[in-house]
Amino acid sequence: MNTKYTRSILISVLLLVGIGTVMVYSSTALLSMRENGSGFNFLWKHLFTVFIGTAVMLLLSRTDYRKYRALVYVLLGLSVVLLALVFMPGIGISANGARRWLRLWPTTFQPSELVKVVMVIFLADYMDKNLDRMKDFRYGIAIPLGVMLFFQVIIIRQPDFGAVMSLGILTFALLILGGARLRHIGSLALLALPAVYMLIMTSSYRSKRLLCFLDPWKDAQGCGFQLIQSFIAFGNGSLWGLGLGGSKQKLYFLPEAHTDFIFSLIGEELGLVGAMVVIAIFIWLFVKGFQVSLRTSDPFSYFLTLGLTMLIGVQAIINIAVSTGLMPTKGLPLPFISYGGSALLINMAAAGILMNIAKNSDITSLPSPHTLYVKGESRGALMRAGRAHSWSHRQR
Amino acid sequence: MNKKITVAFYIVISVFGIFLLRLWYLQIIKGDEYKKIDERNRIRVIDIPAPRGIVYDRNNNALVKNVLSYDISMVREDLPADTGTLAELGGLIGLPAEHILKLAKASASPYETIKLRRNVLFEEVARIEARKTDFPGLLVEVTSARGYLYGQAASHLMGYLSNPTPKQLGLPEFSNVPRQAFIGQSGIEKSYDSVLRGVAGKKIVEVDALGNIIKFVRIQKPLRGEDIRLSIDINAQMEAEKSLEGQAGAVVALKADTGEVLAMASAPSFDPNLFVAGIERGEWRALINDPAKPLMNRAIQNQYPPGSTFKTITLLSALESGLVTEGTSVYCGGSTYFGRTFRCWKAGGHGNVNTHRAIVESCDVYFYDIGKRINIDTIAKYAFAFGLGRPTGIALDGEASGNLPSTQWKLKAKKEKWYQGETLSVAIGQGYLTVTPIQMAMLTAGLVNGGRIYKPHLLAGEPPELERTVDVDQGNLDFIKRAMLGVVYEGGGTGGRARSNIVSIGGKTGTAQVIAGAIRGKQLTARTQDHAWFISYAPQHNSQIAAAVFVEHGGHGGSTAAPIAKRVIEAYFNPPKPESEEEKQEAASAETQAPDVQKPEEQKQGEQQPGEQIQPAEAQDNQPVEGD
Repeated sequence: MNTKYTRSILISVLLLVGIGTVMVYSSTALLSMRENGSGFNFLWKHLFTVFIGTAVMLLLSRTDYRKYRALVYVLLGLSVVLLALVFMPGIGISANGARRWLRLWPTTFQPSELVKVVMVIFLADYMDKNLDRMKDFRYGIAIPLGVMLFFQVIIIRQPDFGAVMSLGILTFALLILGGARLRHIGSLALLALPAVYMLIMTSSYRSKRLLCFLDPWKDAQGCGFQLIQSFIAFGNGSLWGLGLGGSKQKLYFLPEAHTDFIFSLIGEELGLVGAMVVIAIFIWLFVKGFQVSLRTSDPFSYFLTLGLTMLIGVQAIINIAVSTGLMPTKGLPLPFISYGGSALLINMAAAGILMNIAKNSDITSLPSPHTLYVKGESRGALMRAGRAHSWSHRQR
Repeated sequence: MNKKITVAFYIVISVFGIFLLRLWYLQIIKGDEYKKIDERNRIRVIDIPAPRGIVYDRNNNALVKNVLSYDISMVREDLPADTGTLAELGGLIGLPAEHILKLAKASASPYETIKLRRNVLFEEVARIEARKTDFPGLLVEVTSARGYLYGQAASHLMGYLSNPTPKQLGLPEFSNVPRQAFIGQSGIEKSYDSVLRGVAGKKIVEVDALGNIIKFVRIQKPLRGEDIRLSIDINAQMEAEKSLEGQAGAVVALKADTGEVLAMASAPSFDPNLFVAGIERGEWRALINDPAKPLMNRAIQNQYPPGSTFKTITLLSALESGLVTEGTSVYCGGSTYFGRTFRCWKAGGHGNVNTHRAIVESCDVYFYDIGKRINIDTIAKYAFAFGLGRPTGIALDGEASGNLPSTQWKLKAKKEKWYQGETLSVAIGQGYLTVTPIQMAMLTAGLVNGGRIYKPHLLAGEPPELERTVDVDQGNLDFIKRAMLGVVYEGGGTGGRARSNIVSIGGKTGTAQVIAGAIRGKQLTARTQDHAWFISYAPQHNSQIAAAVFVEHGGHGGSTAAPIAKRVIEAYFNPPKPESEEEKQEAASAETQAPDVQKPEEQKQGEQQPGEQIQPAEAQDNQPVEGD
């Protein structure tokens, strides 16, 4: 048993959730007061999710992650069913022109969040089984991408462009790490470009978002509004921030201050220092995830760790990039911090699985049949820190 | 493999590194710039419109005051996104969905409050309030608007308000007028705008993006506009409006000895309430494209030939220059010849007419005879002295000056010398001569008050502005005045329909040709029908009121215009007293007395009271017609 990494992951997740809870309260108190007469409305809901999420995280950290392998196809089937249910009137809920949620008393659930984790588990299992054939176009690319596209096609209909994007980046990254040929992926990406272009340009709001991101000042009162308000929030925050509760941008200037743009609010109230602390915690979590992956002894554990780490990392990167104006606006929450039930719950579940892997990973305990290559010399600080013990399918 | 994972790791770490640089750029390097943008974002200067001054008539009856206006507005961001809900909202507030979208498009920011409707009825407000929860962000605001207490009365004179035009906003006099303020755009609302307007206040506030006020930074209270008291007599005004109903025309009544405007009506008129909430483009188009030109103030803005009412000036010019005397007599055989045949309006002729009867019966041949001999410039001199051919200078916009022909004018305008034959037309008020109703009222006042020309003015209590005293023989003026009384009270007089048993009314009828004599004779249509004029005054001695009545295509002045003058003058001297028993009896007796009227004697007493009863002579109003 190795509890060092488990504790690191737990602490960083709890830190992020703690910061998130404070910021959610700070950003919603006024809005909530206005709409419900009580400033705590959002906070209670958020705390409810945090409570459930923590319970799930702790439960999963004690559940042997290897059990999921047997359940991969059950989980895939469940995902499809849940995604389909979203489109059923009465069960599915629509809001802001999108159908993404299932009615799940007393709250709602967003199946596309679950799909991300299921996809990671599936890919880890798949790549473990087909490790030798990953260089093959059919096994290394066609089949996993087929599964990904299947989900993406359903999710784009909700529509949830953010989920489609993160699912895509995650899958490609995992496949590359799993040994798929870069040449295949590169040429596929080239082929996919026209499709992505069509997808963006046929939807006026997507193309508008893209163009706005390039020059938000062009339509400062229209589609560029949100981004400019985000910049203003960062500018207000300066080095040390306006202090907790000091944000002016959250007073309706900055839309989605408690969800997609909560990082801007952190920048405003906690300043550059606060924003850097949040980024540092993410980096720490990310590093811990990588370190755990290096300590795994079988491809499934390795890919699952990498996948879950990157699931959190990719979402954090997209969210921060969007709120700092480095990427077009997309509806994607900041993991562990943003208000929003399903994402928080799923990310905490992912952290729980990571904790369990960390607990079970020990270079000394499990010599894996898949460990075909043990690298003796370390490459860089990371591997030295993890006492670089890794495996590779490469016969070298 | 380790190579790949290392690359992936460094990619992720460098992405986070980029974030740090980006944050440094946004928060430290660009921080101050964004902060400045932010101040503009958040500090709002909200104008507090100043309550406009109230407008009273000469007897302190409020004509227009400020009333509460309920406005419906909504923040653009809160507008329903789906068309179904939007249509539902439209149904609730009575505005088509596409109109709402149009308003939304015009707004600058998604967080701007859009005024959807102004001046909504209270019952509607109650209905909207009841369903407010279905449409979050729907607001009912209370502001101040003009409320017209006498309906459409004097709408031209009062004028209307609107938001300042972009051009006006650039002018120094409107420099501190807020964009959404209402300012006078016509009538007295415009002329006295600087008095009525007051000074708008300011609220400097800190707001959130929805425009909700978080904090008051500073409040500067508005200064209420000053009230004004018009010289208008609302009773005479209302009577004038009522009399003109259904016709096109104008009535101007002046206080003969001061030039105060007692009534100024123009028909057709417009509903000033259309402007209260800010007029809609369609309604405005309909108003300005209406062939009846309801926005035109016919009392001052349109000019017409004066017809026979001008014979008063022709006669005065002839008397003054010694061409005729009171005893001059001319034989009227129905026409006269001067280069061509000039016809009298009475085909059979008047026989022998003396100077007095020439006015009473409006004999054209008598005045042709003057026209043959008089110099056009002599007529022009007296006409100009009495106010024709130039704006009266009343404090209203767009006054026409009319046209006063003279030899000089013709050389300049037509590059031609004057022909004496043309003087014959001018002598009976036709030809090149045009006037405005207010000029004719001013002229009449001058004729009956001894030649004193007062500039017409609109404010009660303002000292009279004597423009000039025309140097004429008082005897000649008295003679003309007596003849004008004869027009109304003598047998054969053309103005018998102006006969009143409340006050002695004198006047002169006019029927101005719209089309030339040669084409006449056929059935006159509504467009070619003559214009009817009647200039009048009352009472005979110490005349207090001078009124000009003009009815576009009204036919004969005696039959159409004269009764209107009578009604307006009577309303001034004998205002209707509602709920008064006495009043009703008086009205009843007035009706029964109407048939047995007598010719009034030249009144002996020097002081004649307004409202004095006169017993006029035999009824002559069965055919009080006359021609050019």
